[in-house]
Amino acid sequence: MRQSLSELYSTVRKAAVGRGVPHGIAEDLADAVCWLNSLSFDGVTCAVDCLAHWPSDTSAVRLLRDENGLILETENADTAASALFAGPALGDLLQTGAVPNCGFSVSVDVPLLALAAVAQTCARLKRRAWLMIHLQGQAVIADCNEETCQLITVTPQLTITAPPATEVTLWPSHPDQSSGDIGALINQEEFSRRRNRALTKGLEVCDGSLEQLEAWAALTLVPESDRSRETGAGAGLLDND
Amino acid sequence: MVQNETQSLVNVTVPLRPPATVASLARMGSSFPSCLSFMRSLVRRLHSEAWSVGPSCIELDDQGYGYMVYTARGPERNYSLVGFSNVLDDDQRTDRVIATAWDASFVLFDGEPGCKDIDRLRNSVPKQEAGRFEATELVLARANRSMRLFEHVCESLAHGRQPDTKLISEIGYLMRTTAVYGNGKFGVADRSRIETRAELAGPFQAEMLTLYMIRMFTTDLVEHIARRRSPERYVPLDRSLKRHLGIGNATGLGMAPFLVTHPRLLNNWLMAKETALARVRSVADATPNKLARLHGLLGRARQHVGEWSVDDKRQSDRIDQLVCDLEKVATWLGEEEFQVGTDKPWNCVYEKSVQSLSLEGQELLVSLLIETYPEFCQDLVHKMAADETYKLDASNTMEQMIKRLENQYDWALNIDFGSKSQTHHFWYVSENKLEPRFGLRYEETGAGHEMPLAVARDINLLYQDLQSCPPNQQLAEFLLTRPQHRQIVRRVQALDDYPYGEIRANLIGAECLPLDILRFKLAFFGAAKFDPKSDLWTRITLYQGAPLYDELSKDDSDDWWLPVSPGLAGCVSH
Repeated sequence: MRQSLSELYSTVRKAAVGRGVPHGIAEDLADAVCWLNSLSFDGVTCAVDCLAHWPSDTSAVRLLRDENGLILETENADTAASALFAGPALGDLLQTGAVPNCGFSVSVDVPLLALAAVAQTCARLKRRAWLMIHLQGQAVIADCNEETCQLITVTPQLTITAPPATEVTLWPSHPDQSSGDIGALINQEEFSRRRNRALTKGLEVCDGSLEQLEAWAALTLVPESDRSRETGAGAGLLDND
Repeated sequence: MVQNETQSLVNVTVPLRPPATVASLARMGSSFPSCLSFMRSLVRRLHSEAWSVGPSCIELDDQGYGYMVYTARGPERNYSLVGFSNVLDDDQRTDRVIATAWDASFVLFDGEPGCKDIDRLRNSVPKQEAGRFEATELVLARANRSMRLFEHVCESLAHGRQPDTKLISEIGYLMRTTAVYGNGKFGVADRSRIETRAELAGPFQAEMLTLYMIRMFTTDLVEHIARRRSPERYVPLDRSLKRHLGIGNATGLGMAPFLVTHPRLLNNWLMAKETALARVRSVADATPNKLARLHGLLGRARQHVGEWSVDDKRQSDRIDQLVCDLEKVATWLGEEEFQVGTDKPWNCVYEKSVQSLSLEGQELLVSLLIETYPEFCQDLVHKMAADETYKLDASNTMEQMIKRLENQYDWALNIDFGSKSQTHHFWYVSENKLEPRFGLRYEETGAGHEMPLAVARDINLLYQDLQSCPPNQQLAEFLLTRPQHRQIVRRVQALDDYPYGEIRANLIGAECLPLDILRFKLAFFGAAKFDPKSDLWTRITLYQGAPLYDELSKDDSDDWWLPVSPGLAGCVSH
């Protein structure tokens, strides 16, 4: 189904609030989903996955300061953090300027949402950062800056370890991947083309996932009271002018 | 220094009124339109860029059912209103947003629609919220006939006579819109698609263009039906009467949250108005031309207010007071001390108004002063849109945030939210029609699903929590453990350089009147003759007195501030 950006933003934000997510985090999620869908990723399904898992199947996250700077880690080492909170936290950390140059890794339940958060932070702050995630078994480094987010595939053997699919790694400076077999997944031109198409045509979204979001969004609604019905615009009137 | 088009300079020596004064709910609820209003700026553009606006297709049957297309052709792009006139039983004609059928339904199309577009729109537009739209559609709207006036005008014209001027003046419109949707609603184009176009960059310009053409639709429709009803006896509607017909609107709470959720836009509107006022108040002396213009406008304002009649007791009392206020202003202007040569004469008048006029009187005087110097507004109308992309600076410390709140939000921190009267209301979205509503927290259910519009309360909660943390802790850490504050923190930071961004009131307090918010916004649209039907909704008239589409090229096409009944109105020379 085609959705305008503002429709999608509104539905995602309300769905998150309907699930009990704080308003500010819900806004960040909506921004992230619109960003992903405008690049032809299925952000809507990412949102459904994320909201469905939260809070019971996810770990809380906390900030730790070591000798190199600030890092984010899950409170439960065996459980991924919810992207609802880890995504904005990654962006916030970048802003503090305290992320160590060697980077850090954290497990996030829906890594694409973390990517969207970091990419949007870079765009807003006009700065550059790199985030490694795993898409369909393939390690991908997102090179995010003010204008674009280029996705570059990296051969698995060149990654530092064999990480779980949920692991994301954030670097505030260029990571050392120079010897790898690197190919562009989304280059600058493709990034711009997808974004412009979304702005002019709207977004195609997965019907099933959208229905789920709409069902959660409906949880924010309140039945009108009799008083409201009696005093709202046009109340009590057929045409009388 | 402000340089106007005649190259004279105004040294702005009078400060802008402070936010605490101008953003109070009571003063906002006393607003009047001015040349900064969005309808006015649209019509000025249509005039200055020589737009051609008129019907491009009329497909109506003898009863007036079918569709009409109006096209506005500008220097770079065209826009078309596609309007459908539908059969509607009288018992279905309601102002409520929960209605599902209307006398007419409209869409503003980006360009000129082809036959396939018309076929598609014929299916979807009359359904309104139940339809789906494409990015080629920019605005969606619907309207109902005024049963008192529409049939009266139709019958009069069909019988070869003009309708009753008094009735036209009293009602003011043939049709009344009940909703105007833009910015992505139901699939129409996002604002981001059109915001870079000069003609639609200003606030609500697509909506204002839609309403301007809907007004044309209504008068053409009534004339069409009258002509078909009695071709031999039919006479067209007198031009002055036609010009005095605007388009009605019933506005409820759906509009209220917008100003809270778009604080930078609110700031920019107020900043433009206050800057214009400061410029006028700084004028060193009043030239005879300007004095004559102000006298002319004041006379028109007095007549307009005299013709403003409402059933609502509170507003009716305010109008009575306003009549007295305008008489005082007229007296001041006639006093000996107020002569050409008086230093900052407009500032003197304004200062007097603060001492002795009602808020409505003060704000009408503000509009009058601004209207007298439209040249001071030319640059300001281009500054009323806003970038609403907010950044959160997570590197701020607790200490910095506390200082920021104490400086920017002292008005909110002074409210005692321990008192039930300060949390008397809550805003929610109704299940019935997905529209905002204003509930009673301690009497009705649903406060758990409150909309985040209680800015003052949320500021207080943030302030308390900030104080419980180490002063040098950064927001990144604070927000990780207290994510409930993320939204209000982002808002506070976004308004650093926007002093007029907040309505200085507790929007959930027992004293809060949502009607004040509605009136402020509607005045910026250009609406007049507010006709409150409760504390929660009002009827208004838009485009009354505006030039007809074949009058857009006339020199006086911008001279329709506070319209008065035909036959008595006169143009005011600049």
